[in-house]
Amino acid sequence: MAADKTSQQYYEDFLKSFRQYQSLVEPFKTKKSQHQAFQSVTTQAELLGVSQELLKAEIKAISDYTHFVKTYLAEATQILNYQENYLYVKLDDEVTFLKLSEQKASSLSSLAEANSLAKDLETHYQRITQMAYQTKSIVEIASAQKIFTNLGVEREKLEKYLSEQDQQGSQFLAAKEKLSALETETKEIKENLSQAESLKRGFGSSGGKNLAEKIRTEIDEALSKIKQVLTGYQNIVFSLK
Amino acid sequence: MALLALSFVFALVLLFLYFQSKSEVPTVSLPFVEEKLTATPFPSPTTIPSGPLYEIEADLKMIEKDIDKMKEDTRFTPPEFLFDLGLEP
Repeated sequence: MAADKTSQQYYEDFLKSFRQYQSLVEPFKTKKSQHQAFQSVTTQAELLGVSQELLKAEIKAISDYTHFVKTYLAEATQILNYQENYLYVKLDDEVTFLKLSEQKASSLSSLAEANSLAKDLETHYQRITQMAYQTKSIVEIASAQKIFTNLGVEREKLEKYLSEQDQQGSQFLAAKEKLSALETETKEIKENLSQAESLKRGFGSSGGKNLAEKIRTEIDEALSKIKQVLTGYQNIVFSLK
Repeated sequence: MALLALSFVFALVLLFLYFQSKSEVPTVSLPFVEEKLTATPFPSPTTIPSGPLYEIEADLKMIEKDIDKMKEDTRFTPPEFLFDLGLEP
């Protein structure tokens, strides 16, 4: 059943359908050139036929891509407890549109209809790609936040451990000092994550690609600092063992 | 004639006994006592140390793996499609 597929399976479906779509672009261009040269009923009929095939393949590939994004969001929602579901509903609307478009493509009766359907598809595809970038950013931010929260738990455990020890040797004092020094990076990580979070609010009003890139930069910076803090904690643990 | 035949049979018996004694494998006692294995030849698994520090260490390793998993997912890069079919009549 289609509903049971994972996002990766949908992505593999998409790769297959996209390759199929690509294989139909050249035959379409050839028939289009022939029709432009001869303007005959035969060439027009042939062009309509290849346009129909091309549009059907295009819809299938876009549909698989949309399913991939939607399923990826659903999987991440389960893991990351992402609460908002408006994006999921909007992606569902696009899936419905694509189903209707598939029917339209199967019953095309003129080149003008084919042209009009392609333009409709373009508008919807722009929305889908915006939502794809948005999904990517949402998952990246939520994952980084989760990692940061988990790291915070380990910090608390370390603090508890250090406070419970009676020993006041130089090793313990140095460990406490190092733990305290790592607080600077922790604050910077919070800033990066909060910046990514506020950038996320811009989706819908500006370019998805640029916004997703800016968010990724913030996430990468946060992850790099998280790694530094983590190495610091590992060093403390190693010295106390 | 009968004596000749008898001595031939006797010679055969002697030959048979000689070769049988040659074919016997000498038994050599082993210079050590063979021990029957009662357990696997592998060392027993190392005892896993427990305690808060070991728990923290294990958790930090898991977090490290999570960070490594966060490489940019290129599957989201939207593919290009041909939308301008140029089929205006």
